[in-house]
Amino acid sequence: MQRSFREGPWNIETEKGPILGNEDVGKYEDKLGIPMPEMVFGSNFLRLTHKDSGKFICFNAFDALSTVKLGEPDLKLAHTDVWKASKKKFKSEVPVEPGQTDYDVDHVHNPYDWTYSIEYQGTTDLNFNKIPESEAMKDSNEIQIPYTKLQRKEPIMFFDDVMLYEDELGDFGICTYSVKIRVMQDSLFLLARMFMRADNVAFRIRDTRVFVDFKLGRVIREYTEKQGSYAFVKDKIPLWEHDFSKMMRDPQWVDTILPLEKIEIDYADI
Amino acid sequence: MDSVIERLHQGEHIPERVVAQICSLAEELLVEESNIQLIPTPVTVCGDIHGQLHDLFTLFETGGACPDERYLFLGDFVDRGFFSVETFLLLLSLKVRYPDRVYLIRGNHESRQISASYGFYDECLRKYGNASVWRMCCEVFDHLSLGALIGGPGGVFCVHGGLSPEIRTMDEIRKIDRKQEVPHEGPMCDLLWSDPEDGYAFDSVDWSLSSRGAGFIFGEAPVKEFHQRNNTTLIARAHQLVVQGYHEMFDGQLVTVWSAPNYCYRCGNDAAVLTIDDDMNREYKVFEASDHTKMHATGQGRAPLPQYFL
Ligand SMILES: [Mn+2]
Repeated sequence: MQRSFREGPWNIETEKGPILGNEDVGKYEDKLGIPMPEMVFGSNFLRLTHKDSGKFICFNAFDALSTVKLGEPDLKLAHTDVWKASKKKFKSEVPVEPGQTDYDVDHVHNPYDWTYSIEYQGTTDLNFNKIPESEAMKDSNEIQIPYTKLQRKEPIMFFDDVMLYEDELGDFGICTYSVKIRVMQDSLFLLARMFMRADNVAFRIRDTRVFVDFKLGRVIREYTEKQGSYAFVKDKIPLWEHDFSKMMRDPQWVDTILPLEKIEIDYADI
Repeated sequence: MDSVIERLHQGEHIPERVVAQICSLAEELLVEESNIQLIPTPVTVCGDIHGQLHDLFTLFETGGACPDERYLFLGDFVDRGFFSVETFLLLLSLKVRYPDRVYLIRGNHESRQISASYGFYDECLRKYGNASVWRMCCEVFDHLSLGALIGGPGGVFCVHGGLSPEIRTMDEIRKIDRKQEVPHEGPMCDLLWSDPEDGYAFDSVDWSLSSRGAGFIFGEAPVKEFHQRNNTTLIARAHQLVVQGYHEMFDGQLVTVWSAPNYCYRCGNDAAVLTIDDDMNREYKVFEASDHTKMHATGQGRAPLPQYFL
């Protein structure tokens, strides 16, 4: 289903469809060199296009997944060492016949970041200027998303929430990536959030927020990385909270717990 | 047992003491089964159900009513969906009522550790106010067999996940002491967890460790060798979502069957079952989500309610 909002200086378009079929999954995998998440909403996107200049910023699954890191991943399952050590314990005693193989499996073919922790900040042709990291950390920084203004409940003229991908990490956790937008009278705000929980290992949140001030013609983009160990987050669950697993899959709550590890701010005037 | 089956169809609550009876009757049956059950043809093979009770009703409409047709379920009855309790109880009741028309094997979700975190445990608490139903079901899980062979020589080997590098013959599977929680490692774990792969430059690879650090991925060569050694022609497994409901790999030597349509109420995928007839022909029957499951659908296809997110 396609939706759009064309009042104001920006055209806002969203598309929501089913997950990719086997054939398209194969194409994505060939192009990106990694197995795809279980659910890739390949036709989904959120796109903002500036009417006068035609400049755009867009969020979609393919571009997002192209930022998944190849090579040895930095996170491993909690039972990896035990698992590897015990591998020698189990050995088939059936003799190998001529032409058949005695498999000694000890390598990872084409390793990649199985947590699908992307570093995606959107696909764009806007000319962004980066603010030095030391500035970005400061509250006094002149260019920042006006959260006080956003806390005011200005009427929302358009809202959408678009899933881009989701994976259950082989039943060892969850990774979801989706983007939400709200358009007000004189501004718009979007949040593209990757939420990842690797059971007994770690939590990660990677957020890209974009704020557009229509009058000023300024686009501010903020990218943050948060990370914490599984145990750290688990310890923060209040004692009186009995629905433990609900908390562990609630990005909003986990976001309030995880320490900020990185912040980048850039802006584009249009 | 007929009245329990009828009540489950009506969406009625099954009291705890009845659950206890079903579980103990089922255990008595399952404990006698071999790790690999021999199943005559014709039979319909079904993949993951994941608590989507109303889609299980559609499955029976698609494949033919039970006990008129014979069924094999490849595990993952519980978790994710909202009706894991009723789904598992219905399958168990059918097993108890028609032992040679319904066969169940274990999936990786039929374990304490997984079902405690992915929905089944919470659902039991919500519906019964305590964990005893969950505990009873987990006892039954420990008795489920690990695989099946359809049709004898030249037949179909059925398993939830896939192969293990330390399993060469079905006799080795028969020797596993299965009556335990699914272990973290070893052949029993592999059978329930491993995945085949033919994409992203995997064609020349036989086995690989998973990037996650634990778990195996297998290519075509081990499948071919398994068939040669065991005189089988097809591996039918489940465990991975496939959008069209089924997906054949390695020139038809392996198939993934998936029987949970619109998985997690948001994937928009089809589901399928596979019927193997007396001549070992394969017939795939595809079905869509029930109206009930569509009703639970979130996000896709509708304008969501505005949120003041920050
Ligand atoms: Mn599974």
